[in-house]
Amino acid sequence: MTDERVTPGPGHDPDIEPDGVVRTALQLLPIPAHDDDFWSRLETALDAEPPLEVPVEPGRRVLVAEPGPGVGRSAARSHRADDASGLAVVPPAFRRTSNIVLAAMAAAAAVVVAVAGTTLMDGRDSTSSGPSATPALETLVQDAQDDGSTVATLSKGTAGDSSDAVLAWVDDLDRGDADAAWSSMGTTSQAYFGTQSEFEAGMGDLTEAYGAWSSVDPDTVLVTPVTSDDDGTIAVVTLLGTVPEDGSSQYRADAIPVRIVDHEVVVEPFASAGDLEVVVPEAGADDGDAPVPVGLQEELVFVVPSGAEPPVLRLDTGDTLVCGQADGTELTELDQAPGQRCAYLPEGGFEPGSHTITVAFLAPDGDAVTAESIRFEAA
Amino acid sequence: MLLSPSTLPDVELVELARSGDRPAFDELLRRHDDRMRGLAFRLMADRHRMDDALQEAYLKAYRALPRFRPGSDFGTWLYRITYNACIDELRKRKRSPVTTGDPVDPVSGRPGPERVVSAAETVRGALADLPVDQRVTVVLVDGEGFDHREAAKILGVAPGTIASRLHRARAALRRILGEEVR
Repeated sequence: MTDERVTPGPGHDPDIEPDGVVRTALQLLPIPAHDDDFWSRLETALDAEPPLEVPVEPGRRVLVAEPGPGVGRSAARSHRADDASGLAVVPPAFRRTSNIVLAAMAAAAAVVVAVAGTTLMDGRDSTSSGPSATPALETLVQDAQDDGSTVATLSKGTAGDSSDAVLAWVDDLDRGDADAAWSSMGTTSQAYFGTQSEFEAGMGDLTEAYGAWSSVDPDTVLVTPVTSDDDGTIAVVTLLGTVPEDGSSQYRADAIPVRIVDHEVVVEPFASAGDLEVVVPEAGADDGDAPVPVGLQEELVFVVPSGAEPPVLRLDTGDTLVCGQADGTELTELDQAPGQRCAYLPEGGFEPGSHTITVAFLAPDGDAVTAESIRFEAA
Repeated sequence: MLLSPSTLPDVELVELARSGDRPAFDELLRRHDDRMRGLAFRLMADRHRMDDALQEAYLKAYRALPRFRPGSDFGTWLYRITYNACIDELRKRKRSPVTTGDPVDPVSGRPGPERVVSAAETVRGALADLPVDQRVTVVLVDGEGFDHREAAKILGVAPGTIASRLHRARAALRRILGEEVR
């Protein structure tokens, strides 16, 4: 069996070709025609629909072309200035240079270690991505709530190191440095590939997906803690910003898990805890380049596997909430299918405008994590 | 019953449809139906469920027309609605595995040679063994020829998510299919 995957290297085609073997296999699957009455049934159903309201020409395209409040550059700066929640923000001077000792995590709550999420501003100093102690940088740990409803705090240093690790990894991918990219990954992600050779064989896909971040400064880097215990800390680094693609650009939110053990950060993009289904924001409701519309009073809904740890949620740069425990969240088992339904609606609904929701959950053993960040437009 | 085929491009049909022109909408559906069936059947692996999902998808598309962004690609938009309708359908009926004994009903109406049917059922089974997120990703990229960026748009996820799902899906499919598909 031949392997037609694209291998990385100078001048390689950034367009990833379909896998020939899989493509051939799929072509063997014939697609049936509709039942005879399909179109007549549809016509009847459409006839029963009320007339469409003629749309007012929207100005939304202009609106969504810029990152909205809470996700964009200016919004994030505003957050930093106005933030009263105690979230740590790494000053530009320390970006990609910090490696503060992870501290005081144990101060957290009884059920889940509770810490606040951390927002890093844009700005990349590519000269230093490795660990280097910066003890002068103050560690900031938000007091944990004692109800287990929030997860939180990374020190500024740990958040900075997490961001650095991810940005270094995308740089490695973009340069085609397989050795560095491989060694930056945690053992769980390495085990997913099996060997470095297997990783290199699939590296073209990863370069296509993440390498573009190497050439741009993210508008915002969110570092969202998921859990912390004696074995270390798992967090999710979300890169938000406009990435060049095929001569144009696209605003993206990419979530990449990291693991922090003994002050060392490794990226874990393949330590999957299972599939995360995003029910709301409904992907089908809008154009892909723009945030998906969600009503101001509409719940966000996610489905995670049965047995998985309760998902953690983070709206924009807010607190990291534990689904089912924090106000505004609800976690229930699905009735007719395996899985847990996590619903979230903040008290008072969503503020109008663009938002990013970060969702992450752990496998039952706490060792694997699935994470995603999704943009949506509350209106 | 529905409109006769039109020579209008999608963009003009969409504008007509958004202003309430039903025949224009019907034409759009007919025009894209082959590919939507391809997606739905590969996800559902059952003809009747495919039809149920597409009925729902097309109705949702009609209701969502006022929210369609002029200038967007109608096909991509419809793919996304179809995908979500399939997910709803799968959830509604549980994620039951494919019954590979279900007769294959190709467009031709005739089963192919035994080897082809066997291979097709193997593929159906292999697809059904994938988590739905991986299944739809591999169908869009390897089955329908979308690139990562387009697939990401359709599914409303980051391209990186597409890459990781695709990698897993391909590895699993290759492992399952083994020597049966060459």
